[in-house]
Amino acid sequence: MTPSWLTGFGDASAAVRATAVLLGLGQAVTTLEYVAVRDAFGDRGIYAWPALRLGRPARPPAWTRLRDTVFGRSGTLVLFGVRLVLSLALAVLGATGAWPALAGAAAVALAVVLVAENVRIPWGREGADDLAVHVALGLAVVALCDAAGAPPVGLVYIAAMAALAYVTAGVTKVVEPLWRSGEALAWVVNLQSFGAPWAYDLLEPRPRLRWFLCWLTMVAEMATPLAVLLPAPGFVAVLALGFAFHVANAVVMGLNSFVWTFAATYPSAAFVWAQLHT
Amino acid sequence: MATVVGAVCGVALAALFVASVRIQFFDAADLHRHRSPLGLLRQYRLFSPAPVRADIHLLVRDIDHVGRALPVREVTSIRLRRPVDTLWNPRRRRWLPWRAAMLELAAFTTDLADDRAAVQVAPAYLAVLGVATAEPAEGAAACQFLFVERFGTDPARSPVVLFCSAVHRLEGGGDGR
Repeated sequence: MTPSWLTGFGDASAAVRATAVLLGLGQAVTTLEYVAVRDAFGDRGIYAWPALRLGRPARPPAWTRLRDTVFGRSGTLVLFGVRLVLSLALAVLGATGAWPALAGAAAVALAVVLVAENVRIPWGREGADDLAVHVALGLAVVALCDAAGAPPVGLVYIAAMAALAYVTAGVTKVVEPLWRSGEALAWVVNLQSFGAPWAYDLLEPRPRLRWFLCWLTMVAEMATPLAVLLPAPGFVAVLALGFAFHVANAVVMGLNSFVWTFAATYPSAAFVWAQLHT
Repeated sequence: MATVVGAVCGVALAALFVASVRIQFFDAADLHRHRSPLGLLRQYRLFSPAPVRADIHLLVRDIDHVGRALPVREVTSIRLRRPVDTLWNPRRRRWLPWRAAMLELAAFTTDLADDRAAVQVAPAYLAVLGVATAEPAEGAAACQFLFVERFGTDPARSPVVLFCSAVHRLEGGGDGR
């Protein structure tokens, strides 16, 4: 018995709306986090453009002036403001389903802003930040295709990029003895930056639990793309496990942006699943 | 029209996906050589292959006008996990770049084996120097920064210095600015 909400994602517009809501909310949180540390984008901050611009390729003077204006401290704050407005607009328009053309325009504009900030913020990015750019690109392409009456290839792209992220993370872990032995988890949760004392106290004296969780992570990450081949209950279970994994990482490691970004790829995965099974 | 747009978009996204798959196989040196201009091609080695095993701390040693070292101060502000971090965690946006900056400095230092002083014009070096000199101690005339690796809460393992900068004179040094 296939739940109707799952088959509903076979309709591209339902998948696009769900993706827009999740991506929009996640990007609003991420943007506000950057705004909260805006002093770091000043001339004596770790994201100082006068220093980072030296790592960019030489361009014609007019282009360089434009780049310095947009990526200077004031320009960057304006860019964050635009990003916040677009993110919230995408979330609201996606939730209400109103003005799909406007939602499409917001998706295209957000993709442009995220690509620009990809250049402005070359370091300190998480995997979720990188993937979010591709989710926005996928949504933007869906909007362009929709306007031309073309099929929503952007949704397939979003699902493929999510699969690539999961498989890469899983395969690169499984070749590392520290992950295979379960030791890696104890290292990570013992950090001030990514760990939590209570998690270390829980896992450090329990090597079997660590081993199990490490292997569960590796196998699940590698096998996630195969979920689209499973029947409905199996597919839903894999997505639920994936979501629980990201929530656990947010609680233990403080990686909140992964929850929003990876969840934003799930409607596209459901769209692909529905195409294969209906 | 619909067929053309669909085909163009499909080919463009397929090319981007194939390029993304290809870059997953690159090692650090390949990545350094093949940076994509827009930064769209990234690796998704999340906490792998080797897990993050240490916290990176930035320490600054101020020196007064007679060359006496002042107390070392820590610039990085990593703090223990709080429940609210699950939803709202802006502070990591401050310390996440330290690891990337440190790795970039290490790569530059290795590449510039015969001319290590040239690392001082690397973007990472200049950005970190800006942070280190932003709020000098009272009476400081010069400063030096260090990246230190600390292995969690394991008391058996001492912190390790990963990178030590040159000593830099401060603008208006000696009058406490």
